[in-house]
Amino acid sequence: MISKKIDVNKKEIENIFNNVPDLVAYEFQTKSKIKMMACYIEGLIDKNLFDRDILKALIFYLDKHKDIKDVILTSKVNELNNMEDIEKEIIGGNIVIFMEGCRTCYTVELSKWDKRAVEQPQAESVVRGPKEGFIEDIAVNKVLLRRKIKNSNLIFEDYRLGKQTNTEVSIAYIKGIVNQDVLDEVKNRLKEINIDAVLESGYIEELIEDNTNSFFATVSNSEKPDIIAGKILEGRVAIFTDGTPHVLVVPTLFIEGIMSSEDYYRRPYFSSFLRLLRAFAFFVTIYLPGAFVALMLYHQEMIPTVLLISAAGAREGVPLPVAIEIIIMVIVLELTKESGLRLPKNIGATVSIVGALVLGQAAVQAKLIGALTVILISITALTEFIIPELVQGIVLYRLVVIFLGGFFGLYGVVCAFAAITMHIISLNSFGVPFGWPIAPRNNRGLKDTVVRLHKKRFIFRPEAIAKENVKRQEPPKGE
Amino acid sequence: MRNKVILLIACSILMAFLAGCFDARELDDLGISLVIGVDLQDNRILVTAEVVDPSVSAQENEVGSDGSVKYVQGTGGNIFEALRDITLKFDRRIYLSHNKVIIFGEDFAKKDVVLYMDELFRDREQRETVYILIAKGSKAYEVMGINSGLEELPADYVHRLIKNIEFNPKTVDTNIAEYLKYYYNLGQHPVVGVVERRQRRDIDKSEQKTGTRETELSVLGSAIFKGDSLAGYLNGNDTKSYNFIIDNIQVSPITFPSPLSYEETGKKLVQNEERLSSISIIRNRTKNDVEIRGDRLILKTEVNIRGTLREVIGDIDVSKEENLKKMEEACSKTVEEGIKLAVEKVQKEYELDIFGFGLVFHRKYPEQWEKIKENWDQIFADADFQIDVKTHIIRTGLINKPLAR
Amino acid sequence: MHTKRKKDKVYYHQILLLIVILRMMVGLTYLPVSKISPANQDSWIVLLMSIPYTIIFCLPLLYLSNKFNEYNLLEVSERIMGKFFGRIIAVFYSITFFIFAAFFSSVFVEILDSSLFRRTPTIVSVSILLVTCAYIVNKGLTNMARLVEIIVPIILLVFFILAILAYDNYDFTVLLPILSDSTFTEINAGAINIGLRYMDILVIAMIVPNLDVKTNVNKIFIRALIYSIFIIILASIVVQATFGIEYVKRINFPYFTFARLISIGEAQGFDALYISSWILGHIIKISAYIYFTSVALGKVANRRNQKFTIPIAIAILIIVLLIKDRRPVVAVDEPIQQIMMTVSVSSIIVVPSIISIVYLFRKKNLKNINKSMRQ
Repeated sequence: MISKKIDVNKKEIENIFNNVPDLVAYEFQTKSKIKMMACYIEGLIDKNLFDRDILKALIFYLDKHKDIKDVILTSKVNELNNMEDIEKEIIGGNIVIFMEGCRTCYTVELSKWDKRAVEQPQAESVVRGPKEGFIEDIAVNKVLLRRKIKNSNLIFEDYRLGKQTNTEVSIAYIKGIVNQDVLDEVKNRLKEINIDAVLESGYIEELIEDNTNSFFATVSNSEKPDIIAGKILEGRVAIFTDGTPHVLVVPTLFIEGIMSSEDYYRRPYFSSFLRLLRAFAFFVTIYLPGAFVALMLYHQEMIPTVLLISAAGAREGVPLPVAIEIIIMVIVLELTKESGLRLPKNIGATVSIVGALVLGQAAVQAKLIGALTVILISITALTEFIIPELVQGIVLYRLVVIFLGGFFGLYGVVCAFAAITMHIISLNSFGVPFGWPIAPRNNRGLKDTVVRLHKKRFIFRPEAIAKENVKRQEPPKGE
Repeated sequence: MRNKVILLIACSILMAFLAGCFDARELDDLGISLVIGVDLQDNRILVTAEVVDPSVSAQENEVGSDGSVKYVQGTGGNIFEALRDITLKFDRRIYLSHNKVIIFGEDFAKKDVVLYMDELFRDREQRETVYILIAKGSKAYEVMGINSGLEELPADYVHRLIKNIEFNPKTVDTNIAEYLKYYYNLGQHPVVGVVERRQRRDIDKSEQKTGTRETELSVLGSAIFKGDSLAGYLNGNDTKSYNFIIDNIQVSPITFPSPLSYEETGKKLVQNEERLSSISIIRNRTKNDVEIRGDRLILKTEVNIRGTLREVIGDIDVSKEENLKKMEEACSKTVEEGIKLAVEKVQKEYELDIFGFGLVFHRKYPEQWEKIKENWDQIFADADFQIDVKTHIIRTGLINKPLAR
Repeated sequence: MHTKRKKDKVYYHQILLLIVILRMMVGLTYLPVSKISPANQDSWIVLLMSIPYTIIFCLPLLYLSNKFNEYNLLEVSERIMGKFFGRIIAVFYSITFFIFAAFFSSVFVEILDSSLFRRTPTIVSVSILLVTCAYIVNKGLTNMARLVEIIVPIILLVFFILAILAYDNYDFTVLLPILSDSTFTEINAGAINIGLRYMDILVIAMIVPNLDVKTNVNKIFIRALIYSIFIIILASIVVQATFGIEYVKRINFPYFTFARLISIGEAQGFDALYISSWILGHIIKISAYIYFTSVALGKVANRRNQKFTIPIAIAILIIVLLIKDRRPVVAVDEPIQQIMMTVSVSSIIVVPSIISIVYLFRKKNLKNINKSMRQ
């Protein structure tokens, strides 16, 4: 309850915020001798505006006959009469104004803090396509999305998650396109979240995903408004989290891992070629090292003679068994990647030189590893880099395949293939089969998978995702 | 969930006691053999293997020939025992998967080859695409290790020689699968390639000095098998005729006496017997047939040659239709005579149907075949032979008139 | 369309592919047609002739499947024969499927051991197989059907690629003369023999209630039969054209040897492709039979089927160890082939015939049950 006395209120607020030195409880008197108090947190509000539009207005123009809302020159003034809400408002960066003799108080939204400018996301840079990316501020992010989809059916629904952090979370979808089942499922799962802190969308991702034991993510994320727009236009639901530029999208299909936003901006033939390449790369990067170990250890008869002789020559004098050699090199590859990632850019370059020169050249010359291994690992790395979205699953499975290849040859590799494929297609993302539209097969959906047809042919949205409103556009004339 | 846990446990237990990778073989444990020779010595099998030394062949700028292979020998009662005998003297296990050629010594080939080859098939290591060669008149190991080609390894040299049938059909390229296919067929006996060691005329002065390459190999001719033992040899021309009949000609030169022709200017008849012209076959199609006429069996062969002129010796203007016709006739005649000679020789000398007329007979007269299939070879030897060769010269090259004035 | 459903749904093309792969794996493994009578160039005619025989043999099963397409074979038999006999039939079929699974596992392991892993103990190779299969079976029918949908096209693709790559080795004249070396009786005997081996038809009877369109049963049956026969004919023709008639009879695993012969220029090793797809096919095949065993066992015990996977896998492991370490399975015909023949004849023909006959006799009494089924 709010007291009529300002002093009481002040005490109570100071009690609540007794450890917050940046809390400002500024008492002042208007010209008409009304005692007032403004509470806010230093640094969260726009001080200039506060001084000019609120303090000045209140002090000079407020009198007993006027409502406070008529005086204050801002667009958003709310009335409050609950202490808990007041706490949230102050924490959220609003100004709370108390008036002597009044049981209600007013909140004014003047929050302003330093934020990053909208700039090109580093992780998802493109050659063709919009360069802007989301930032840490959810309001800006929403605006970025709304500017892509100028449609009143684009709905945002807000949630507050995290008992301690009170993070603003918002789901976005397009009414009429969105799959109602998925939407309900998302809402349910968000409601069920019971966690103390949400610092990044990864927290939410982990709590709402279907298969917590899988290496593959069944919730995808992006930093780019055009990607999110494209996905929710297919009937998906986006989840914005305050404080992070990474926006989640569900449901996710496996096939999205080999897609890129640029595929839709470039010519369809080249895009299809690139997608085929990525699909190929997915298999190569998981199975190549394992298959290599299997061939080298068990099935030498399946290697062409010339290659075998040169491989044998490269292996002469190498002390390690080929399986160990490959495993070491795969781990070194991960080390190189990870160490280059965290370092400042100019040191990062050094890491790659060290990795390439010392580990590649020198190790071969010192007969520590075979030259063929280095080539193989390079191919593995290259193929891994063109499908960044699937990396988390790939790296671990690759190790599994190497182990199986080392123990049981091709037999192990093929069993791993069966099991991994089984695992991938048995996943579900919010009720949508992860392997759609390949398994279960869907002929309409196949038009936008490993090949991308002309946009004229995209008559239907992905059926598994947008269930109700599947038709996207009219078929081209004459068909 | 419980199932998953059980599965995981099962997996890890498996992993733990499987760490022994039972069949794993590191590359540096294998002696990769490219050629093996099989001989008979004192009634025991002598196996010679040509093993690659990968460390040498991996090094660049290695000029010295034969340095990158080693030869190892083992003896035993059968091939398997002989192969394992090698391991007592050589540090690596002989790995047969990449064998390209198996050379049988003449002595061995005269025994039951197929009986002894059982090992090579029961085991998965030896590929069925390996070529068979018979070391004509010598031991297998005597023809091994000779490399007078540009290939780095002697095995590749022999292998390439066999593959050169593409350019000259005076040899045969029979691999084990084909050999066995013929071996099991009653209507056709296998013919395999031969290899022979020859003196080489030294031309290159630097090689004369070192004296390393005074010998070379030749795969001219072929060997006839009666079932699983060597019956005899065919010479180069007969082998070519054999290839004609079994329709195994890809690109082949045919050389024949240039036909008579009138000189353009003087209307003077010029005898061309000493002058030989050549065509090169572009495509050849042979059809074999048999016919029972009365109590005689007639074997018929129809050869259709399409070729391009390669060499015209003699004053023949091929831009004239009749001259081209004459060339074609002359060519046909030569081929015809060659084939007749070969068939006659095989019928008389060996009494073995190597041409597959038995199969044709089987196809055409299946009921009679049932009765005679065991004696087919005699029937074949007594049969008459008819041949019809047609040549079509479809290209004449870049010049029409011969170079000589 | 793809929301969670109470009953696992499978689609027409998935079942079609499943049956085709179950059938063609036998051909791709040891090509029995090249060895059973008349074992000559007329093998493909024998295969063609086997189609009508197969249809005749499978009629009772098809009849039941069409009549009661809401229930699988075991449920049908329970409703027709009563609880007690129904359970006996369920026991019989669970044993049948189990025998199939165990037999194919042992064949698989034997070929694996003789073609790839000579020194690896049987227990190791069979354990890997069963772990993989148990994992797949645990994922349920819907996901298995999806796996089939992905993997079978790969296997078929490999099969056709190999057949095309080997074009250099073919000599089709060995297939002549047609129909002259074998008598009518021989061909029919061979065709009946092949028709009797079509145990994979049981899949349809077991899976009918899960089909998306239940009237497709006959279509699936006929198509699967024709496609699989076509593939086996192709396999037998290419193998015979490569090796000749007599040589094929002496090879244990003709298609494997066939794949080893392929070479393009210097490139060899296409048998790696064959081996990989062959292992995949067998994983699917054995998983399918383990799944049906567990369904049948579930019927016997009136429980959900999933829990039986691991006991079944362990039982198979033991059986395979018992069989395999005594005698080769493929090479030595007796007595395992005899047992297989008996089992397949009784499961495809005898038992379904008995059920149908009983149904025809008790038709009137069963009408009420029938009505309740429709609801």
